[in-house]
Amino acid sequence: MTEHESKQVNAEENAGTTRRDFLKLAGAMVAAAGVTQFIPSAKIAARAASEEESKHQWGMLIDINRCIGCQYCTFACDAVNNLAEDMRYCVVTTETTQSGDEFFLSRPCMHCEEAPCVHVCPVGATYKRPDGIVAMNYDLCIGCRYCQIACPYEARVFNWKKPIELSPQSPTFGYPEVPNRPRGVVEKCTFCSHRIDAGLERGLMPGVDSQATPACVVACPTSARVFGDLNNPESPISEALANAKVTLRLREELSTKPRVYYIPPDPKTENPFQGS
Amino acid sequence: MKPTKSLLFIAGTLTLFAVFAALVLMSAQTVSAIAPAEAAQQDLKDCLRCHEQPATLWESSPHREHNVSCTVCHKLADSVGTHPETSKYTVESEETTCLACHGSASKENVASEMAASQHAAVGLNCVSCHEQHSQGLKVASEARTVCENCHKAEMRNMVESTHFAAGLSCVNCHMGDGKDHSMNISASTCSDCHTDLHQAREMLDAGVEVNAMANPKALVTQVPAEQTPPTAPQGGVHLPAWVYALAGVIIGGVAAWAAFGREPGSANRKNPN
Amino acid sequence: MQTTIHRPKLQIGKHSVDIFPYWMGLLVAGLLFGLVGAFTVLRDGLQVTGLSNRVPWGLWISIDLSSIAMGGSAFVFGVIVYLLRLKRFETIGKLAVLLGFLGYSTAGMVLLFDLGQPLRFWHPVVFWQPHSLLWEVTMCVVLYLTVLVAEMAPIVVEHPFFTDHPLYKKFPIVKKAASAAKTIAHWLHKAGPALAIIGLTLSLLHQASLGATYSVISGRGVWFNQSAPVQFVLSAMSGGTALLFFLGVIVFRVMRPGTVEDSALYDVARLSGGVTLLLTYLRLWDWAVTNYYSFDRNISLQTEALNAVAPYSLSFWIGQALLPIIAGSVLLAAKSIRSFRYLMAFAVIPIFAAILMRWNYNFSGLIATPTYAPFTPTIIVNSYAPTWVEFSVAALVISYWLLMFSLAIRYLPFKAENER
Repeated sequence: MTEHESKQVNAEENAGTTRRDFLKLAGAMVAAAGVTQFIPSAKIAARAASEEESKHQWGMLIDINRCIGCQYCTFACDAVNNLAEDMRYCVVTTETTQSGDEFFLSRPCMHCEEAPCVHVCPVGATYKRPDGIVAMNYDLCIGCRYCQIACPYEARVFNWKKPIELSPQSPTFGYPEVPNRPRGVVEKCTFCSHRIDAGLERGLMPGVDSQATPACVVACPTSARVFGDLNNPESPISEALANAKVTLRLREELSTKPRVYYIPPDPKTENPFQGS
Repeated sequence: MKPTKSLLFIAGTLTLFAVFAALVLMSAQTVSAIAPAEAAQQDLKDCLRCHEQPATLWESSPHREHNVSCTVCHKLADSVGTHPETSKYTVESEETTCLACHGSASKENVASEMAASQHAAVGLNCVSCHEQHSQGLKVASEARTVCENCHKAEMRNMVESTHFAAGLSCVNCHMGDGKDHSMNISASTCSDCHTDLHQAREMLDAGVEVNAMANPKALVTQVPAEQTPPTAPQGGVHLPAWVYALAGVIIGGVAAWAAFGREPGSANRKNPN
Repeated sequence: MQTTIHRPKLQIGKHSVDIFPYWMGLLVAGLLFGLVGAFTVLRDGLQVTGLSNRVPWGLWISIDLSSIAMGGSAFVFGVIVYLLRLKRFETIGKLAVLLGFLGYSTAGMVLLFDLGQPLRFWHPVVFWQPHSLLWEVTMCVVLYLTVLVAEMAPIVVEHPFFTDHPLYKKFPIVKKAASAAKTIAHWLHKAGPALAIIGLTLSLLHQASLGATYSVISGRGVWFNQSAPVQFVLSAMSGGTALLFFLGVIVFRVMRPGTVEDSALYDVARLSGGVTLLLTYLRLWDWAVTNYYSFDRNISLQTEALNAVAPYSLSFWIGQALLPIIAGSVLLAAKSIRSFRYLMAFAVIPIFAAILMRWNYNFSGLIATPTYAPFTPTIIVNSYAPTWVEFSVAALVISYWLLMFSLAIRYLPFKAENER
């Protein structure tokens, strides 16, 4: 609980910083537009500055063979982000292979490298952080829902109603760690960026230290989810990816380049919990 | 004064021995970590100032009954620093936290039972099922039990069974009425209830097929669980009838006018200039 | 010289009744009903609509797309009148500007209600994201609406009020204001050609990017389609010009006989017919590319699913292929047919076809959605039923359109240039 409190404070501070920075950036852009009357150059300059890659690039690996469909990832996500049941960021569904075997597919936001939602947002409320996380600025969002339409993974949810006071999954699966979002904006999975940012400040390594790792990864009882820095060859995810014989990403044909990888179901692996 | 002195010496020796014996006994039971009730109360008072929610859960928990308070499981990470500014409370691994009391040294011996279970084989641990502060079950809503949360197919079959109709649940067979964490069944699991063959006869009379019992899979196929045919997709855009009627009236009106009306406007006239 | 405006009256037995007040009463009732819905949605948010995370765009977006199509004649006639200098279309061009203004202001109005945060409607203007097609659409609507207001001003000041009015004697300030408005309008009129070029650019950009709004969405099967921008431009031209012809006959031939040559009206019909045929030709090729020559399994599954829940193919083959071919041919032959009755009846078809096309375009990718399942991709069929609030706001904007149009054609002179 101690962790949660301090994390929340850190997350808020951090959100404040990014918001200020963004407004500054937007202000600079508008000013530049006014002076030069020519937006593309200003925009390109701004993009170049923001696209300077962070040394961390976060990614996730979900081993379908280990997933038992318990939905703890969903519950933990609901609790930490304070979500109602119809607002879930992370959902687990039962899908089938070509041979008809059923398996559980757990789906967070893919945090695509070429995120369609970022490209279509008319106000830049959805943006890509230098560390690869696709984030939202809830103060900019006008609620047009174009990003929802553009997302091929149905990963975005719109606040049709007022946010709930406390998620039904709290306190069993965790406590709200981020401020509630207002009615009328679109929201999405953040890879628990509040945990990552606060953890890095405290010298923790996301993916290794549980306090700096996304809630869904920590909650997974079978360690089906692995999180970490794709740039660091010694991170858990890099090692898991190197060890995996075959990985896939969802709807790869769309060239969205998701940062969430899956280990496809192996017919030889006997999973005692697999639904029939 | 002398007899008093020797009496004091004996008494002192005895007290020391008693304290030593108590310490040895307590450490043997690995309950040395458990604080006395007053300490637990003080502990809770300090933590409660900020951490109300977990404390509420803990208040009605088995841990509360045994005075297992916050700092038994939550350890200050850095003993030099002060909480909450510089040092955080953390929970170490399961071995040092849960199994310190519920481990192989305790009479329950949950650890070895758990180790023998399929649950351990897929990597589950204590908090996979138990909520850590209340020690209750994590998923315990009316709609879904903690077992069903993962064993969905088994539960679909279970609710159709004679056992379920008789009021039995998962734990009756798999946990020896709630204690055995290996979740395994043994020969006595059945025979404890079905003590003689005549009861098997009664079961047959009740309509349970013998081969179905011999082969649980056969029972599965007989059960028409959730076999209702999926209803036709109700998708699409549903507009009320009056919208279609309105469009029909407009189109029909124009068509009727085209067929029976007269030419709009006056006869062709050239522009005045 | 004053244009005499004939006000058509309804003959009931021996009495001739001016139905205008009743018509106004009906529209005001529609506006009031619409305001109830508008208030509800602004107070309670979008939860009062039938929209969901699965179908986030619905009736309002379809109305937005359609009303913009209905304003499509404005840029066409801006070019014809100001750039090609075809003087005989000048008066019709004024009506086209009115339709453009009404179409775009209606679209802007309905979009406002569709936003989750209506008070942030100005964000795209300040927080630029030029990669987004919706940003481009918004900017074009805002700028083009400004251009249309500038183009409308000279038409509005033709009203006798700006020349003389009893109020002038009582309040000299009114006279001053009126003459100031007239001066500004005159100045704007001088800028007509420049406005036409800007309007043409903005409008073409915007109609095309409306199509591209859908066609860049790669994850939704049928939407991912290179010809959508061209189709949207052509359908706006076809539907918009057909509407201009239909209303032009009423405004100029019935209410202001003699102001416009019949041959000019025939030419509008011919233009509409030609564009309709061109659009249908493109639509057929587009159908072939997406369905017949395509090996995209998603699209075939999607079309199948759409046909299961709605007459999707039928509405394409009848509503957007067969009927427009007939209507386009008839309109193209306007000069030989020489019957405004038949031509107007056939002009209704391209109008409905344009609305149908945009309706289908909006819902095809929303109702039948490809899933992200890795091995067995399927199509999920979603359901959407508009609520009374959505119909109420629809009534609001449609009543607004009809009210403004009715008032304009009853009171604005639509004078030809040489009558000034």
